[in-house]
Amino acid sequence: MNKLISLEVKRNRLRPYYIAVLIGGFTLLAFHYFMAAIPLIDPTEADIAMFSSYDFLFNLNHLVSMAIFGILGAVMGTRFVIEEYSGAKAILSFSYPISRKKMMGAKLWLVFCYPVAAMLLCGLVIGSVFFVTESLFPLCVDHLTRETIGWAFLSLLCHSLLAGAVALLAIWIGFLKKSIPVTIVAAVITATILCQVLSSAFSFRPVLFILLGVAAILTMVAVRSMFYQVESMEV
Amino acid sequence: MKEIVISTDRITKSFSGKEVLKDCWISVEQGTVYGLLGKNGAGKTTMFKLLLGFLKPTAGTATVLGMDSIKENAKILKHTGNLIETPVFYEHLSATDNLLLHLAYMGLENMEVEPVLERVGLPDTGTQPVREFSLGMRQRLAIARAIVHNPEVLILDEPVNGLDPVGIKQMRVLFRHLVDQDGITILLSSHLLSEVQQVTDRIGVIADGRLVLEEDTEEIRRNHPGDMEDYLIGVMERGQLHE
Repeated sequence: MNKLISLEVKRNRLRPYYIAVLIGGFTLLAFHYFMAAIPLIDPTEADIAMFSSYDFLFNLNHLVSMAIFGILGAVMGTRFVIEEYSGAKAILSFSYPISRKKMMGAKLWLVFCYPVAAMLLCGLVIGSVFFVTESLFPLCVDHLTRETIGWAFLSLLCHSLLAGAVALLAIWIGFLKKSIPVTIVAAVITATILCQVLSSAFSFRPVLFILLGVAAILTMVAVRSMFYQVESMEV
Repeated sequence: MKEIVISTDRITKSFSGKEVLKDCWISVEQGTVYGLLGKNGAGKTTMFKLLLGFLKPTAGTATVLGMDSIKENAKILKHTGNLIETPVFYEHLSATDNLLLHLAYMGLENMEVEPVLERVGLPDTGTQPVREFSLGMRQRLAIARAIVHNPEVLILDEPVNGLDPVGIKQMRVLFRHLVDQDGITILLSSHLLSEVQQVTDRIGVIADGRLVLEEDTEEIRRNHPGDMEDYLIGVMERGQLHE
């Protein structure tokens, strides 16, 4: 499996995705500071107490990150999966003496892991930078506790996994029609639905774990379905 | 008699109820070049895809090197080189990298690819990405990819498509060399009848999804001196049933 993944990386250019992660990371960092500075920019803001809370700031950042990296994963999936199994390219993929399931598995694993790892990395960098500047020049009036940091990390991990799930679910939907636009639209819709549900339950943490569980089940169904499709595919 | 390495037994393939191949059979002996002829849409590419397991037969079986095309597909692909339809490559990679990647997928590493590139007339392409290749260069590279892992069988759909006369001759010499010196078996299709006459040992003609002729090239040449091409075109058009 490791060999197949490394071959996938070799045959596809990852540079555009590295650049996308860098741009996404900087944008999210700026967004995080902007949200934290709202009480200073506009002291008359009605939800000033909310914007001054670390929990809210991190939840908001993780939600936006999940949408961005989930869609990035889906875009990556259009190149690694949808294009590879459309038209003449499928003939090339099926010409190798390798189990179709294994080949698809390597692609899906890569497309799942990339947004998860990228979001974790960006989240850790943003969190670290923010906590360091907060300890020196605090923007928020909230108290920085171990529990806050612990929850921020757990939330980041869960949202990262959700980003990977968004990518795989979008690829599943796109794979049914072998369509790039369908994949991207599916990613946007899935991410939007998740953001809506999670944002309406910011203060009720178990919702995040429940959604993660549902996403895990749906993702497993999606992967199995794609395995079946690729096994029975004729080109 | 030589061993049969490619065969189909009353193979039928339908798409949405329409039969593209009907009760078709072919048999290709080891160490020969077999030319499959037919008009556009006659079913040649479908036959090749069935042999390689890219398509599943509606009825009948396809066998390559004694292995069933569906049940033992991976083993067949390991020992077979192919060129089906328009060749696809990793466009940002060089010819060498494309071949090395192909070898890695075939489970063969540390193999030299330069001699193969030279053999197909693509030396010194260096780091030039394949997206900058001409149609003829792409076709040469596709043939290089088909032979780089030293297959026992080659299945080539229109292998000289897009090649100039020099390239066509080079490929003819290469195919004969692969068969005569290396003992490879080649099944190919081409619309260039003069080429098929020169390179093949046996010719099969498909018309409307049925194999209507299967005969040694030499025998056809002997029976139709001077008008072999017209004869083959006639068979393709009329779809005479093979006795």
